[in-house]
Amino acid sequence: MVSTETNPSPPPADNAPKFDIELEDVYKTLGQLKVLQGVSFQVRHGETFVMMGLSGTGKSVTLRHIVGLMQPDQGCVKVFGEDLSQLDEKTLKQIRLKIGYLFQSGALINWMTIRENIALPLYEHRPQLKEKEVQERVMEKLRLVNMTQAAEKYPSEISGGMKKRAALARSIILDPEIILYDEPTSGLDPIMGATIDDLVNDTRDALGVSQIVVTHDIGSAYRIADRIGLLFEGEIIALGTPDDIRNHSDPIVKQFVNGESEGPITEILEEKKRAAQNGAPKA
Amino acid sequence: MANPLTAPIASMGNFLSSTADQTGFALSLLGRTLLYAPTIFSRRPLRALFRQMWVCGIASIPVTCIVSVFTGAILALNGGISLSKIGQEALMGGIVAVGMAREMGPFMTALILAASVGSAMAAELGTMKVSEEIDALEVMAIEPAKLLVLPRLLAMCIMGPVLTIYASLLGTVGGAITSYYQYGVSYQLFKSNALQELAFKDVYSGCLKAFIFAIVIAIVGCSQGLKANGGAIGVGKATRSAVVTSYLLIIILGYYITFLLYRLQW
Repeated sequence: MVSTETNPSPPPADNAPKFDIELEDVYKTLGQLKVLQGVSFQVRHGETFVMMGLSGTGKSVTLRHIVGLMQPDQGCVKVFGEDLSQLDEKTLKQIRLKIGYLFQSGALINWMTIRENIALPLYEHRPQLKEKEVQERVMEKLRLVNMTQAAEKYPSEISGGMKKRAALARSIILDPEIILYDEPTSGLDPIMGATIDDLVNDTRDALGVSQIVVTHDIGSAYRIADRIGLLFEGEIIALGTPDDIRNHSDPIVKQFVNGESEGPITEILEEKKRAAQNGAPKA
Repeated sequence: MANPLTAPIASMGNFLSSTADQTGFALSLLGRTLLYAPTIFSRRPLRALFRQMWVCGIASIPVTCIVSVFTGAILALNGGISLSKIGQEALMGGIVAVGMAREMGPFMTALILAASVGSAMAAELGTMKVSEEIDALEVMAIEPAKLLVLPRLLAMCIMGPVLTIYASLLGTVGGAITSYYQYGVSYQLFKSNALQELAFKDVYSGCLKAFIFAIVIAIVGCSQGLKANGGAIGVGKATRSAVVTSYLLIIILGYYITFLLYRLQW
């Protein structure tokens, strides 16, 4: 069993912090693969929480639970205090309107221009806005991500970094209270990665939003995180400030943070590989 | 290791379960899409509708032209072989016109639309699904049925019957040309016999079939696309499945519509 640092004890009820997102003991199995095995954490209002972990450990699956794209097999996901599994479709949509989600690929609609992509949520959810107001808001968000020059281009005509910035502009067009980022810096050069990190910080400062950033870029995590959670084998095994994680004593956390090729993580993965070859169920 | 005795039963069970799942999803998609139908009458959805009408209708005209002219020609060629034996070539007009209006026009148009437009719908929506664009819409609380399926469904429902009438006319022209050059039936005789035999019911039954086929093609294409998963292979599977399912439904429904309209005289 991997050592686990538990979440900080909740303060007394009378001055309890406001959690925008709460995951309580969430389990999820996809096919035969046990992806999440008791994930629990909370994100306070205005906090940037970075979730790290190896590829395929369930980071994106966790994000998908937070927007209701997936339902846990067991456990509870609460957003703004509402248990998502108990909500009807209409209320779930209302919650989703307060969440911006930056997909790993950007997920821009490929037959719409960048301007149309960003305006889409406004046309859908702010029908009272005049065309001029819609375009003003779109340009305002494009300026925020420094993308005004690409407004009339199609997603296929711009680079990966520009797609992510355009997708970020779309995810904040309705001024959400929570923003979820799925691997915002993956596949980008270091300078573009740092630019995206700055955007994440600027967005939090400008909009006062709560954010969850999924990444395995440790440098990026240190730059943007208020707290970091390390997901391994379906559980959060370490949770704390960037300094806590940097100086963590657990050998698994150490190996991950230092990016070493030898260590307990490698041993556990090799053990699993051997077990799978021998026909044992995947875990 | 699968038990060889129970494996076929399990396989049949999986097939039935997956078919029921797909059917349920397609019907619920149709229901959800129809709920949003009134929203089409605003500027942006209308633009999307016109774009889809272009894709379904105008872009399909060249292939429809060729296929329908040759279908009519084949009808005339085959009909002529039997009719010439009994000296009744004069009936060619009626046989070709009625055949095209009732059966071959809607049938051939539906097959063309299923192969070209239905497959494109499955591929487009499937690609959007596997590249997380559909998830992105859901997260933005935008219903894919409203944004993506509604314009496609309505465009097919409008352009399917229009193309069918066009295909039936062209097929009849193709039949007339073949009758003239192969069997010496004059255009005047062909036309008068065609108008004499063709009833209003033949035209509306053809249009009704075209309308039903259009719904089938659009909903099967869109639902297969929206259920796609597993990257490029999944999109390929969805596209193939959309075409095969549409073809099967077109043939089976075509039979039952004819049965209801002409055997039971609805």
